[in-house]
Amino acid sequence: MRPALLFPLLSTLLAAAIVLATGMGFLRITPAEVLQVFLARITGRALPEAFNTVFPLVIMDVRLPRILTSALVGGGLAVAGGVFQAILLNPLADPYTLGISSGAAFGASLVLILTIFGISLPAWVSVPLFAFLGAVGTLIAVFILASPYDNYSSNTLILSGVIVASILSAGIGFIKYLANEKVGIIIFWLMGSFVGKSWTDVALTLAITIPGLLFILYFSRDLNIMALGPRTAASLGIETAKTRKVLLVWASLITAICVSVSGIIGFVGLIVPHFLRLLLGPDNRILIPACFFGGAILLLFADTITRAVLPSELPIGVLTSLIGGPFFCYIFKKRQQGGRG
Amino acid sequence: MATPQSVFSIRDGWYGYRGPPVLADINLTMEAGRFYGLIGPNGSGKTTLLDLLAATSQPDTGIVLFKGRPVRSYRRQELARQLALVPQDFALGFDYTVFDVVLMGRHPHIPRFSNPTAKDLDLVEEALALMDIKHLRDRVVTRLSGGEKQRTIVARALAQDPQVLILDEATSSLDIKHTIEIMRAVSDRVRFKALTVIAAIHDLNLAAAFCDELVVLKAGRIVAKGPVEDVLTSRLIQEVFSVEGHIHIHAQTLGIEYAFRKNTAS
Repeated sequence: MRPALLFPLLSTLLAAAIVLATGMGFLRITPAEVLQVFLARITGRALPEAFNTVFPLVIMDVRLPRILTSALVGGGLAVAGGVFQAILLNPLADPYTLGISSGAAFGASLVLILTIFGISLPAWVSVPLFAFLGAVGTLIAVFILASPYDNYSSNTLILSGVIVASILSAGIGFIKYLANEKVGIIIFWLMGSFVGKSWTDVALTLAITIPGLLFILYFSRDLNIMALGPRTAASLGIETAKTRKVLLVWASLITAICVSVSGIIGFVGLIVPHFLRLLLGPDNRILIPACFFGGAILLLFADTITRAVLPSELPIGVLTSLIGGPFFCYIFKKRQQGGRG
Repeated sequence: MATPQSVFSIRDGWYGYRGPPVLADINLTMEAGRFYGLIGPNGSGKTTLLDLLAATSQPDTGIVLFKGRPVRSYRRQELARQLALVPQDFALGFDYTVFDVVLMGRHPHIPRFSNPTAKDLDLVEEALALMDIKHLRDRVVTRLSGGEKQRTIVARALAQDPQVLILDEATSSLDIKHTIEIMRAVSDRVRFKALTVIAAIHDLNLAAAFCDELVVLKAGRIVAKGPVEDVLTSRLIQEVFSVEGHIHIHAQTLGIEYAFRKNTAS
């Protein structure tokens, strides 16, 4: 499909999904009413007298922050996944390949165990903060381990990620062991959730995801050239090592903020870029922005299911893996059987 | 001797930290509009030497000058507009089409966020035609045969429209027809467009047929350099490759040919 058609279509889809999802839930609100509230907020005009006064509260303070956070996290994870796949030349890489998720989980568990032992900081500040620090710390460790000796080759990076992640997993295991019967808090965080997300979360995610997306788009043609291997890319005028590094750092920062805000949500970052590449081809100039919309729509959809459709909330990470896993098996099998998707 | 017009000049180049050096005491000057063949046994440092010229790696000591300026002082893109490399170990990741990959050769010439111009597309078409892959243009590169992939990679380098073309075993997986076609296409550009070619070649007869000059490497050192007819002698080949054979001028083609002797104790 041509980009001139694709992106208007995708943004319309996302906007429609946001409006529809906002109306869904315990309190049903029609799309027209949702739009009325949005419009009133944007223009600053008052709503009609007869309008239910609870609606604006529910929409603006409860539902919209959660919906926007889930869309941004989905978009961010899918973009990061697309970048990891393109740089590591591996269509099965995902945002967690370098161990970012384990770092974030370790940071978050550390705070949770401190809280359990009574050394408490206000949880809404410290869990995301420590998760983010843990993720960034992991990234630094991986880069130190994968020194620039061979231009950060895919194998070196993946191996470094595996090593760091396995050490951190052991750490998380130890914390879980210490937490004893209160381990549920940690496990729940690890499985990911958008419950109770506020405008602060929206702002934090936005502040990193959007600049990151723009930066990656700026280098999207360079990212294409890297499919020819580091030496050829260098001979085509790309500062291979430097470009790889900055792109990996941005993709990892996006991943870090997403994980810090929402916990570990699997499969979105793997399946969305993988599937869209089969559909749209490998050109990152189209693929990366398409990933943003695709990931946003998918995670918003999944979150709306757990929030408004299922009788009780399921951790979103579990849901995405439960839907994503079999779907992935299907694509994988179908690809083996015939042709290019 | 090195003059400002020289395309390349390496002075006292050494490479390799640990163990025996991969390249030692390299002093070499190359002039524009010539076809240089780089020959030598496996592991004699051919690829490393080409890497130094293409600035994909730097010598440990010594200096590489490109058009009289240190090659490392060029910006990557500036270099890429003038110099193309066909590496031996190329990757073709993801399902790009042949056309997409050849168009990537225009990358250093197309400004960011711009579309290729008519000139860019013309050069791509020309390269596709020269490499005999026009009919494969919409095929996905991951599904090509080894020889088709190699022709795609060479077409990509030709589309780059460089002044200097560095080929590292660029015809190693091609049949004889396509090998000769590539070599002929490249040497035409040397003759008529003053392209400079530096090619690592294993096939001595191929090197003899198309190169103007040969550079012979053995164990990281240059053991001979000069016009083909001066360099390519039975004695040199015996010395460098440890095989016996003889060189003769073919009566019909007037080409220099090498024939090895079977059953020889090397």
